[in-house]
Formats: sequence, structure tokens, C-alpha cells
Amino acid sequence: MDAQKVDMYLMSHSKYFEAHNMQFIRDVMLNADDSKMIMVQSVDLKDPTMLIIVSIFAGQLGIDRFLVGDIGLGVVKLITCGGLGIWYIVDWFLIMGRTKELNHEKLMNALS
Amino acid sequence: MAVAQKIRRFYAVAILFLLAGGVWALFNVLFQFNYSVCVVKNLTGLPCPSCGTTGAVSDIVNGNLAAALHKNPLGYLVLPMLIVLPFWLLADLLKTKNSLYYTYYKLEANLKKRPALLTLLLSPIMIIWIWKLQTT
Repeated sequence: MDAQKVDMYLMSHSKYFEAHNMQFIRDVMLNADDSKMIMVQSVDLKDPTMLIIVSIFAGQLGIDRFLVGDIGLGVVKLITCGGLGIWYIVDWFLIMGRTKELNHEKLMNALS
Repeated sequence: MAVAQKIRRFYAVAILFLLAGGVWALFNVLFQFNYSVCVVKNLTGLPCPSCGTTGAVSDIVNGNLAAALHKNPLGYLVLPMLIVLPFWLLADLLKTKNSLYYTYYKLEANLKKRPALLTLLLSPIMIIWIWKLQTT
């Protein structure tokens, strides 16, 4: 792919991915076909900041986990009232990393 | 993430959750705690769908079946799971099989594929929640 386009994408989407994965993503994108750019632009990425807000307000209902695709964990979180309140707090710290991991998987799927 | 690593992480989390849940249930049954851990409930006064599940489990163990149903029907779901899952987990670890992992992921994949099924599963929980909100 065109290096300029790749760099523009990465700059505008840096918050969606883990910083230490950016170089890897850049390499994969540069090696990918130009036609994949449309696929990349249409990937539904979840905003980590939005997720942490969801985690704080609706975390005890497991909604934050449902939004990152962890359905099983979401149901367990719902049934246990946010893991007796403890998991609810722990997830405040884990949810951003999990969102970025999910975004990374989604992007890699689109590029392959 | 490699599959083997995923499996190990699943079992580590499963062991942690079942241990925490088991200890909590035991603690509550033995010492008749009645303290609410719901941060949201303590802040806003509104109960979440699973409020009272621990009390319900404690009631079932002590024989008050009707009281348990009234506190939270989910107790009837949680208690059998708390009993069965540790044995299932132990069986998996002893036989070095991954049946719990595969069952969990197959269930999750099926629920993801059919959101209708998920809504069906979650609706009793929502009904319980609405009932709870109306009786406070």
C-alpha cells in the first residue's frame, strides 16, 4: 500500500491500537495490496476511551465485556454483579487493553 | 495469541473465579453475611439483576427454598454451577483434557452467531431485574 496513505491512517487511528503494535501494523499494511485499503477503512473499531466510560457506568452489568465481544465473560459478569464488585473495578484497568487487542484482531482479519 | 496460551489463560481465570466464588459463597453461608457488594447499589440505591444471589444461595443451603426464590431466582442457577464447575475443572486437569474450554468457546461462538439466542438467554435476567426494580 501507498506509504503516505498508511501513515495517514495510522496517525488518525493511533488511539485504537496498542502503541507497541504500531510498527507491526505499519509493516503489514505496507506489504498489503492497495485494494485492501477499502476493507481497512470499513473495519468497525471500538474506541477505548468510550469503553472505559461504559465500564465505569455499566460495568456491573457486564456491558463493557459484551461490547468487546467477550459474551461469556459478559454473562458471568452480569450474573455475579460485576464479580462481587471486584471484577467491576479490575475491568476499569483491563478494558482498554482488551479493546485495543480486539481492534488489532479486527484489522488483521481485514488485511488477510 | 497462540491457542495453547489461550487455553492456559482460560483455565487460570476459571480457577480464580471458581475459587473466589466458592470462598465467597462458603463465607456467606457459614457467617450469615448480609452486606451488599454492589457499588452501584450503594451509590444509587438501584439493584442490579443479580443482587441477592449470594443470600439466595445461602438460603437454599439452609433449606429456605421459597425465601431463596424471592431473594433472587438466579441463586438456583449459581449454586448448581458452583458445585458442578469445580468438579468439571478438576476432571479436566486430572485427565489433561480441555472439555470445559471447548464447551465454553462453542457456547460463546454459538451465542455470537445468533444474537436472538443471546437475547433469549438474557431476557429472564432482565425480567428479574425489572421485578427487582419494582419491589424496592
